[in-house]
Amino acid sequence: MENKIICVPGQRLCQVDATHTQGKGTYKRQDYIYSSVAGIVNVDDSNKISVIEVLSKDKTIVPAPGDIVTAMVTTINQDMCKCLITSVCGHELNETYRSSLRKQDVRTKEIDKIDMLQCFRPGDIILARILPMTEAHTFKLTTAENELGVVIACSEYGFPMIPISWTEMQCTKTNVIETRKVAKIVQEKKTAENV
Amino acid sequence: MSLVSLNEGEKVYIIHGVEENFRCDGRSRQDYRPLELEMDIVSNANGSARLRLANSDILVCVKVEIDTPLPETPNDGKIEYFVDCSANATPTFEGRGGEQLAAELSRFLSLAHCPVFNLSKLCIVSGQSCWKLFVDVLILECGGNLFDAVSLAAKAALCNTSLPNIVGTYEDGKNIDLQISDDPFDTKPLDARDLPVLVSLCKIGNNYVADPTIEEEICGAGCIVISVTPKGKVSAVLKKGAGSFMPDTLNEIIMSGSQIGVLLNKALEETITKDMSSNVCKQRFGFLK
Amino acid sequence: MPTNLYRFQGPEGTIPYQHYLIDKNNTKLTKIATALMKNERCDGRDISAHRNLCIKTGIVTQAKGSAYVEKGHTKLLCSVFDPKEVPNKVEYAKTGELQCEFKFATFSCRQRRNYTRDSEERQLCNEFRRAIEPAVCRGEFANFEIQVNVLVLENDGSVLSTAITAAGLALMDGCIPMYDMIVASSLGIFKNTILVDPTYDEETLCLSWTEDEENRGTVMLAYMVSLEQITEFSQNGSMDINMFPEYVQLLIDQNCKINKLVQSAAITDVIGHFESQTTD
Repeated sequence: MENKIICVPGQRLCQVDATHTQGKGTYKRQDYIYSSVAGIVNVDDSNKISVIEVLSKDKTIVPAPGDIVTAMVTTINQDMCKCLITSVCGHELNETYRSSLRKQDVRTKEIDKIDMLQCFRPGDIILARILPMTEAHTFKLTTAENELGVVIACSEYGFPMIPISWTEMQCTKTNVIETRKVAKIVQEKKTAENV
Repeated sequence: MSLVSLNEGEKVYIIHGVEENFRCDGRSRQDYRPLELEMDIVSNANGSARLRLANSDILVCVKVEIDTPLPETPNDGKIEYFVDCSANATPTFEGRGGEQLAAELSRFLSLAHCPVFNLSKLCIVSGQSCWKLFVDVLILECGGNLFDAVSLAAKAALCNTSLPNIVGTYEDGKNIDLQISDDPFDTKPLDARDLPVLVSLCKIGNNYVADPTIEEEICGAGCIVISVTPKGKVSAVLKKGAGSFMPDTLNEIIMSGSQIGVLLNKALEETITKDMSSNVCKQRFGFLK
Repeated sequence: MPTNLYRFQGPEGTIPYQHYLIDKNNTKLTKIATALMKNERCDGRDISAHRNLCIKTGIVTQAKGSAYVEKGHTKLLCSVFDPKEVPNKVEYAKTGELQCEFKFATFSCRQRRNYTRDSEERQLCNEFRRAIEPAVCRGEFANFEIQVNVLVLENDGSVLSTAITAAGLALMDGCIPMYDMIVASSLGIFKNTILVDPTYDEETLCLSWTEDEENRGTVMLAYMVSLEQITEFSQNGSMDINMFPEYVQLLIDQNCKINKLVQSAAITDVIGHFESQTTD
């Protein structure tokens, strides 16, 4: 605690040059980096360029295009399903945001053969990526990557299921097999999921 | 506020024009657009005025009624401002769209008038009865700079207002009977010449312009509205818009605002005096013009 | 005026009994006025002295950030909530919105206030929003709105400036990105005497109508100290134009003083948080 620099919003931290750039919790104004939140100044030297960032006690994160989010499927129909975003990049949100996943964004291959009801069910927890914003103000999601899709689901009888292939999951209690667009969980994503 | 939308090129054009002290309509930074004022045009009101500032059209009517004064101020009359943003003015005012602007206008008008207007002039019998002025502002057309236009029209309407003469009062126990003259011309004018007018100065780039149009309001980073009395005193200041100011800029804006305000007051005063003296053979225009 | 039938409205047209006290209300103001002529204030403060400030952040557990500020008898609470979607919105906006609510508790003033918002609250709400808007990095939560609520528990003058200071702290506590801390202070002017941080009675006195030409009224200024930007300025009363630079400078000096207090409160807050984290 002793050697840390504490800053408040609006405090000038350092000059922007070839070796210093702004990170989280800061903003740039007239060639200087200023802090935008109250917290501890941290200099990340892991790359060639040192990133100045401010670590605050809490983060204000809103989902942005390109982020990987965890969402819960709420309603589903032939063309799309509606989801609630509950966490962004492993950071849990206090507020949920509405989003939708259209049929053509479920997977990359055989888009015309997709049946939404074969891919998701209400209550499923999915990993998805946010698509660039369009004029509509709700978020558009995509699961068209191997690592994206359903991660937690329950069978029709209400028991948790485990993935057995990239399109199927099996109930742990009744051994019933249901179809889903299953995410291939890699270790990194798993930790993100556990947060 | 309105349906006008500008692209980047248009904004740059306006901002550069302001920098060169030559605005889109040919004015310099301190100039006002042409003003038209007509008074006493609503027969049912005790005082009325219609003001046209380029495309902004404002009608203000003053109605007078009798009320009992508030117990904390037994010697004071009452004055109430009400602004109505008619949906005719711009489609965005439809429904509840104009409500916030209307509330802000009426509140600021009363704030600006309150420190200058002597309410004890409206007293009839102390603690028993007083005049209550209803200042109703109707925005007929919206062409930018509503604050200035509304305040000019309100001042003109109040100058035009006359209170009926009270012939006698009869005390009957606790009740007081007022007798008011039958003759509609037996009135005494309300002295409202000291009232302030509002001057809006919009900050565009590093300069500020008086009487901003809607387009300039969109380009501007913020607007300061200053209420200036004929004597050059400032009775209220308000900031509009999301921008912020440097302390020196703020002082400069207030200074030049008060100078403009004094000139504006003088121009209004002259027009009102001229209008009142030429009462006999006045040509009426009404809304058809 | 819409009324809520589930709440007790009280009889219409009631009058506070204080108006009927034998020692009439006016004598209280005259007392303050005569004391001021001798450069004395009723609460024993110097005319250029601020009331003591009590700051506590993070007191509303359900909110993202909150602050409680006490300045003399003016007590208020400010809370900030997470960005949420703007209801009934069709267009995409590049900047986020601030949704503010400024509310006097019904018992906060001498005269009981109604539950419904009155025009003064609306006006204060507008000024409040404009004061904090320039300080918040609104580009960081595009298309969302952040709710900022102020509840005045006790009103003893300088409410708006205290509320703005509290909002700056609440935003900081909620870690909403800001360009700078925001502080505000107010002045009362009575017969050319400048009173820093006026109480409710002093404000009433400054705004009461008089015949003479002397300066009177109130001035409020919200300021971002390190960026040197005025975010909100409002004035009421009757003042000579040449006095404004002096008032503005005085208010800025006051704001710098408050900013020091606010900053030290912010730093203790951060230290407290990170120390509790390391001990966990």
